[in-house]
Amino acid sequence: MAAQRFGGKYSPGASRAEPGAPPPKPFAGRAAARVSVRARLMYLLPAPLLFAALGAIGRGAPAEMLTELGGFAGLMLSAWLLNDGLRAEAAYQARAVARPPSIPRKLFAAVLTGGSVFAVGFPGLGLGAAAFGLVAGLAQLAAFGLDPMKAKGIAGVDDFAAERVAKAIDQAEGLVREIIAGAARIGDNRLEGRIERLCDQAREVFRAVEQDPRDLTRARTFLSVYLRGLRDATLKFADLNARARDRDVQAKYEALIGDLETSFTAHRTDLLADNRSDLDVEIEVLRERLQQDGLIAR
Amino acid sequence: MSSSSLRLLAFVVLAAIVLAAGFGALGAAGRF
Repeated sequence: MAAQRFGGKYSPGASRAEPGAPPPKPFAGRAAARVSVRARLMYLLPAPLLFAALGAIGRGAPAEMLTELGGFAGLMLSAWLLNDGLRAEAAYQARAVARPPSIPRKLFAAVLTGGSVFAVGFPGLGLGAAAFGLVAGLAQLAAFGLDPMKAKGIAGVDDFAAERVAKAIDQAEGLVREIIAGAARIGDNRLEGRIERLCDQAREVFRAVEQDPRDLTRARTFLSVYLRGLRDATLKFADLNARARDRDVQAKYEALIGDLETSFTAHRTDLLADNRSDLDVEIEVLRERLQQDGLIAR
Repeated sequence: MSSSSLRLLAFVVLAAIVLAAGFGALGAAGRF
């Protein structure tokens, strides 16, 4: 055995090139979650009502207690709807093709705020409370805006196609979430990181399909075989691993992930180019591979 | 007036009304 000179990656004269393709950046393509402090404050502002309701309980005033507790509950529900609506809006804005959120949460939240303020003020102010309710609702709309109401697509693509793309990507995103949740159960940071990187690559394909949905059918087959296979395998492995750690199973699973990594990196580009026959073969091979390992149902 | 300061103003109005409703109810109780 020949002696090897001591040295590392950053030693002088060491080659900087890493073997193989450079790994993708861990957070590429993911936007940081934005937290709206004002929307969070909406959870805090109704607090005095709760204390007022407690006071009403102490004095034995049931009607007052009910109004105040009701108003508090309404405002808290409104705050929750508002925060949820802001999240849905962020998800809508992150995509090139998207359907509007199914419930206009921010609008409902504003109506609920107005209603709750009216209900709390009514016993003291009578109908004058309606003015406060109205102003509160309108102020909330002005402060946080309205929900996105229109489906957004790409110019030149009809609504039907845009809808199909949005639906397919919704489904695939659901699979990715399941995979990540399953990976978290395995309790192995290294494996989890690899799976997350695979999911990031899948997300890159989603964004590409959104930009140019012509290849939706092709991309869908690949993504659903690939993502479904990864999900089934991950969930199954997480279950097995929770019961008993088996080196054999783990090795098999890691080999599968390795295969998926190579095939996905190699064919991500084919997927987006017009290289169909190669891709079809690849999908078949992948499907057989998954079946042989017994990791997905036959 | 820019739209962000308008939004801030609207939020302040909203916060004032919601707080007033709460403290008003506390004040009406007289003692707590």
